Amino acid sequence: MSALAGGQTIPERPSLLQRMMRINGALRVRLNLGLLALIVLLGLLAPLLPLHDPVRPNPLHRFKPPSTEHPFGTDGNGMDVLSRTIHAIRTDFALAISSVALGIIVGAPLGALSGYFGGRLDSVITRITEVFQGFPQILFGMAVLAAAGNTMVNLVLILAFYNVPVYSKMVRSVTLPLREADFVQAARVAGNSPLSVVFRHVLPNTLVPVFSQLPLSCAYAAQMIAGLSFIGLGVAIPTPEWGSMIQLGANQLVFGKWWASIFPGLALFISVWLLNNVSDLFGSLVVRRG
Amino acid sequence: MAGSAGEALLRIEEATKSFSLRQRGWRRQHVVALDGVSMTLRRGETVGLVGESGSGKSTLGRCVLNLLRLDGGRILYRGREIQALSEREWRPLRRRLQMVFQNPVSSFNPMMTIEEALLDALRQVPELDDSRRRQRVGELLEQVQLGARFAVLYPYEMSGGQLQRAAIARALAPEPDFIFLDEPTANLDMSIRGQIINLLLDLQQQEGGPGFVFVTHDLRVLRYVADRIYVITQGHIVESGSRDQIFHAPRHPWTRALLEAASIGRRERRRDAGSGVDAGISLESSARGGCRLLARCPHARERCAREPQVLREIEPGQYVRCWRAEEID
Repeated sequence: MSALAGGQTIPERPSLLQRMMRINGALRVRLNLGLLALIVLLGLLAPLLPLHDPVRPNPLHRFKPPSTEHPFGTDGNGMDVLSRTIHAIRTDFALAISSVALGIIVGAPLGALSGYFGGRLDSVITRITEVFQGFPQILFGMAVLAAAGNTMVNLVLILAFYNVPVYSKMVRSVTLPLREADFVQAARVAGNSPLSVVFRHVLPNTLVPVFSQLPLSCAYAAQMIAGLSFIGLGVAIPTPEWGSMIQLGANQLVFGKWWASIFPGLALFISVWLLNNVSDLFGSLVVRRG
Repeated sequence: MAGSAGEALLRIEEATKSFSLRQRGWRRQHVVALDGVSMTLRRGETVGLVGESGSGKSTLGRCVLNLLRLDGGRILYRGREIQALSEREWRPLRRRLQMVFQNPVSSFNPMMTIEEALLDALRQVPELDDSRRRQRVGELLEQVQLGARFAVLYPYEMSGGQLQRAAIARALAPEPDFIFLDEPTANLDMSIRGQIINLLLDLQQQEGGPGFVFVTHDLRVLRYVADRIYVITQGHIVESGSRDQIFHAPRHPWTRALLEAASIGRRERRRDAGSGVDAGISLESSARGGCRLLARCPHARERCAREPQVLREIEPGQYVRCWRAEEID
């Protein structure tokens, strides 16, 4: 540190280590996004890859350990675990993304309307979403799937149902200060109807936090899907899905046949971990830009 | 005031507005932003409204534009009461009455390009089709001396001065009768201020152009643009008159103080040599029932504490809220 005549100090240059850490910030974003993209790509290309049929059982090859023929081994139905783990990306990601998207499509406009108009509309929307959130999630999911049928559509609807209040509350809280913003007043002066103010001017400006929350919701939804499938609800057995695969191999773990559960478990763990990381990084990027 | 009332484009009568602050102790605290403000604007005229910050200038604009509701009083547009209208009833008037905000950066939607913002304002001009509207965007940008290349830019890619021009273009878009300019130069550099003022002077030259209310805390700016000037403090108009009356024959101590404050530093005039009120800080309304400027006025007499002051015409077209106006010199 060198002192100047006036007693001011010139800030020190960041050390090499500090600079490396800073580069690592950008690197971490790319790394996480890259790996996530790789997983999604793998899922998209799954039918084109030289893999075994993920849903073809083979009674003669049950619980075979990993080999060159079956790198991840086979499960209790003699199906190839590698092929199923990769094909399950399609199931889990599609369900997670569609349920979160549905939650945003319904929740974000509700939140913007309730935040902008306030008053009775706000009370009604807020109360309803609070009731939504009051249900114990897994229990409610189990009840609905048991009653309304164990279909993927129902699964998506249940998960969307959880996401609606998350996004309506988030958008509402961002909308409240925007209501008095100059550009919103200017939009009124420019002749926008109240609805047009909400949908053309307010809503688009609430989407930054929504997008940083999105990967987190997807991770949560993936966990929920796997969790419900694990207990036999949600996605039924022949369809490749991580939760049901883990369940299928779980009771063989104690006999040392670890591969049927561990590989889908790892896939789920890595996906959720990457999604969480990406969400965190989005958040910090948004904060840094102010 | 000169001219018959029938010519008035906009007429504000006895406007009052107060805001209640957070409750403190037992009683709610009220801040009076407007207290019996009356004002007239004729077609194509530019009226200056000058006052310190917190004097109620912006509140008046927001009430005229129906962004806020008055507590009392009337606002007449072409003789028609527009104050108590609902948002729906007001919509047709949006075209006619426009506003330019103080902070050009925050008055644009950050997600929209300038073209989108102008098209948004042009949506309320039903007689134009889409291609004609796009053409109009170009013309408007031309009119405020911004090139068409600015159309594709987002607000954060432009400077404050450029954005303020774009804001004026947006206000001009629906061809209004009236534009409320809420301190349009306050957030700009001195050099950019001059450009905005020149732009306004150009707009004033146009036949059939809109009337302006130009709000500012800097009296000097009005020397160039205003036809008439209202001086406001603490929600009260204290003096109004033509530009020449205000600049050359100001009668109210407050107006004199403002003029003096504006010239300090330029003409090196000493502050204590002046005869006016200390214009620096807004004061608590001290005198109940008396003149509000009592505590700060060097000309105060015992009578000032007793009598509330009223606006009275002391020259044709010049109104002053001070009973001693003629004596002070």
